[in-house]
Amino acid sequence: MNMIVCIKQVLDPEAPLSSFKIDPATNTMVPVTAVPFVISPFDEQAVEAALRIKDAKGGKITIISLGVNLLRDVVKKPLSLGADELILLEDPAFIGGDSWSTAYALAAAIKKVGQFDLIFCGRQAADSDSGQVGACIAEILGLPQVTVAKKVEAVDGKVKVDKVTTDGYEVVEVPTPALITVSNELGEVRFATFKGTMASKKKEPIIWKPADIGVDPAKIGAAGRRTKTRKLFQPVRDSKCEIIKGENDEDAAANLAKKLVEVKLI
Amino acid sequence: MADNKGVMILIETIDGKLTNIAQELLGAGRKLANDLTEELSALVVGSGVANIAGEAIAFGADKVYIVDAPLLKDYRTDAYVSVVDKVVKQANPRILLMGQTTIGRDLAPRAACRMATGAILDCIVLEIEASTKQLLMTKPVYGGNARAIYTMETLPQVATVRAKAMTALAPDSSRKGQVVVIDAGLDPAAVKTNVLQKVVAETTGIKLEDASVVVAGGRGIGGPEGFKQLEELAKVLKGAVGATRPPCDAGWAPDTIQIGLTGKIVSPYVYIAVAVSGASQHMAGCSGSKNIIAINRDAEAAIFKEARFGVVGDWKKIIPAFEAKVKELQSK
Amino acid sequence: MDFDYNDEQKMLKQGAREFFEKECPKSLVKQMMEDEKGNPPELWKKMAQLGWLGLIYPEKYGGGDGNIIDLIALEEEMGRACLPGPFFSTVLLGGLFILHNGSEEQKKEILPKIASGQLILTLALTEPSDSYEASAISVGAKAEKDDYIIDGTKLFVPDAQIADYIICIARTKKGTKPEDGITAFLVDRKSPGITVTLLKTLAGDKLCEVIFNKVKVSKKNIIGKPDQAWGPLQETLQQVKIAQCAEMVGGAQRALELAADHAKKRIQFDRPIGSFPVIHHLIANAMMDVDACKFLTYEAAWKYSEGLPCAKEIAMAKAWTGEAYQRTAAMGHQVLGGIGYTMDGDMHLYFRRAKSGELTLGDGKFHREVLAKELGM
Repeated sequence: MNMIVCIKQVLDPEAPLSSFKIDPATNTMVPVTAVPFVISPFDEQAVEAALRIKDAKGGKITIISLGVNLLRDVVKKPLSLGADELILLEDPAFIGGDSWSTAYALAAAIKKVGQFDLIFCGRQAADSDSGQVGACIAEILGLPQVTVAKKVEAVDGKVKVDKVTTDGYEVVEVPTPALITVSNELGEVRFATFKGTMASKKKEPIIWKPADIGVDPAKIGAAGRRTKTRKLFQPVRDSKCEIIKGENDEDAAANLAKKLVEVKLI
Repeated sequence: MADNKGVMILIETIDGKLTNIAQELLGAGRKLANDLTEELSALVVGSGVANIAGEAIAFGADKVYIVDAPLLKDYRTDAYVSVVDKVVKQANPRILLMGQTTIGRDLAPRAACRMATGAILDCIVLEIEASTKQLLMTKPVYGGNARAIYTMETLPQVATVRAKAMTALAPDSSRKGQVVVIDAGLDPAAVKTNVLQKVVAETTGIKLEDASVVVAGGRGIGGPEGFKQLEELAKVLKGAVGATRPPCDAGWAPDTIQIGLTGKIVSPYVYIAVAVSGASQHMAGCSGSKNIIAINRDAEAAIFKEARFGVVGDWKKIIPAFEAKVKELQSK
Repeated sequence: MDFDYNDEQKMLKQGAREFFEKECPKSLVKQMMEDEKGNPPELWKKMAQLGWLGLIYPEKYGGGDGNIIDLIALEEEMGRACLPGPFFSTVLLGGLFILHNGSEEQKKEILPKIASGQLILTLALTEPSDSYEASAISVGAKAEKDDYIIDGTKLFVPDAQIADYIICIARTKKGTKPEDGITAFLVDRKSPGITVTLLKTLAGDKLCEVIFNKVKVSKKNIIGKPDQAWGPLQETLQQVKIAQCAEMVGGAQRALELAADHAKKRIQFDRPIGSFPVIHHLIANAMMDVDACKFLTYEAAWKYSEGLPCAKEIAMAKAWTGEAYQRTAAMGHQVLGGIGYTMDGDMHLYFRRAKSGELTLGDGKFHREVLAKELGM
């Protein structure tokens, strides 16, 4: 199985809110203290989904990441887990885009990679939360898509997917090549073995610029946006919490019960 | 492009009735259409769905487009994208809205892409900018830590809307409207998805989205046994149990009760967060709660900034004592 | 000069951090302090599966062919996590001694089993005199045909209560210098005559009194050359000390972070306590201390990895780190105030480990002597 996984480098979404402030000039959140970069968590699950198929059926996994200042110890992580190749679309012309212009560039890179059976994307990025790049790539490449997958199985020219629904899940089947977006219901991602980590030393990333993948400069990055960000702001939270105390935990608990009954919450 | 007019809502149905979110969307769409002094239309796609038109009109639509075909019985991407594309070409709405549902999050981006326009998903506020007539779309970003407002110049402007973010109108069965039937015009060979099975998770008791009391457990619960305790408490309070993402990822609780940005959105009267840190990802799912009660051993946990009442301590000691006292007070 | 880890080491370190955050929460650490075995089996197994137990061993012995810098990247995270268990005793103390001094047969027999998590090993060095000098070795081993009879008491032997084998450093001859006549024996812990008693220690680390009462050991179980174990042992300990310092660096770094985070959030006197100059200076002192530990350790590790002489650097790293870690943890307690004083908090875990780290394999005074000798005094 030839598989492609798209990953995005983001500022650690687990970092405390106090580490960030809003930059009104760029309408982005910028760190005020050192915040580490990580792979967007749903993208890690996309990598895991591909690895599980590689475990079961063998094959090759190509990772593609679009961005600038891509830290090698961040974007190489899938290589340490078992992915085979890393392609970086690393150029300022690629960034500042929305889902459409980002998907356009990724789709062009995927076309250049050549034959593939499956493309995996995370269901949404931890910063933009826009949730569309996967579907846009599928539309541009004319592929069937299954979104919000929790289980993916390759079955003879087809792929069988458990797709998360409000009430449970649906089992659907699409012919390959296809695109799948992955959700956290897939389960926990694996840790890299020491050997896997050291082996990634030999896999140097391939860097592609816009000219390498034959894109129309007007359609990529900030130039190719269809949507515009007018404003970025933080909602003001000003609730005052009354801490219920007691002589010990049990006593405090009893006092809480009394209080909630008193204010008619229960 | 110059003659794109009106607001169109893709409405979903369940058991022959509008879903809650469909009603909410019609309520929101009505206001937008009024602000634009343009029409509100509903688009119904499915099989055997024609008689929903009356209800859609009662909830605010001026016109209902019906696309009814056996091939449309189950949602399948290729079929629905094709239908939306066809209807939009005919109806030319300025704005196309869907619910942020299993269907909406799959359909909206792809349909927008096909129609050479953009989409914004999971909107919580929609407004018409009077000077430009553009739709201002507000949605949570950075895991819920911030809000962004988007616009687009391409048409139609496509957006999906979060459940419970909008309000439905009171249905008015005296409202009149037009019904337009459009042929699906589908090529079965072009529909690549095969739906093999639909699995509905067993829910005993009150449905999470409808419960007026929710007891939610976080990473600090430590294992599945802890959730059994929360279930007991939920029963006593006649509520439902929810969870943050880590317990679901670890398999301590089923995925279907995950509350958060990508999980369930709940807005109960009382939300008891047990060993929940209060990360934005989770708060995005429960910030609509009227009263949040927090129990956490870390006095500096973010949840205390969202809660009305809180106890700092070990939930393993607090929850049983709390439950016991509640039972005692209830019996009086 | 690039003082940083390479990309792969950074990935190893970050991966280890995430792994320990998930698999080794502080609640487990505190539980293990009271536990007799002190080694959660699932955690040990997972570490084996990730290749961490054999990281520093050559591939032909089931290891990962890692170097000392790879090792210290992992050790920093172990220190941060306050990892319980016999990594120090089995992988480093015992395992490295066998790697450097064992016969091919001994290496093939022992090392793969350590790497796969199936064997726990330790090394019994110190005695009730609690000195790291050669003269302190008094446990004797008397030759008797093809065997030796070991007799005496070893104290503070790490993880002896769960060990499969104990490497006993015993005196076989009285030489002209105390360093002469010391031999290392690989002893099956179940040998008749061995009594292991677990001590209750300050850091909850599993240190034991091991009494050898006429324990018979085959001469085939001598590791390295008979009567000449002391020098090789000191060589091994050099590498072990570097790893130990890295572990302390990770702990000190975390103690500093906890204190700084708390200072930023804790409001008293209508402002974050971190806004007071006194706190600024306490934190700044700790930052300097922690960085000093880090770079002394990195320098020692780098020189070791390049095969350069590094006895001075190792002595400095050990002397400084043991004391700086304690200063940092003490500062942490000061800044955390009341909440830092409770057992529910985590700062005391670092405080304790700082003390035990200082004392293990020679404290600051011991290593200052080494430094003085380096300058010819």
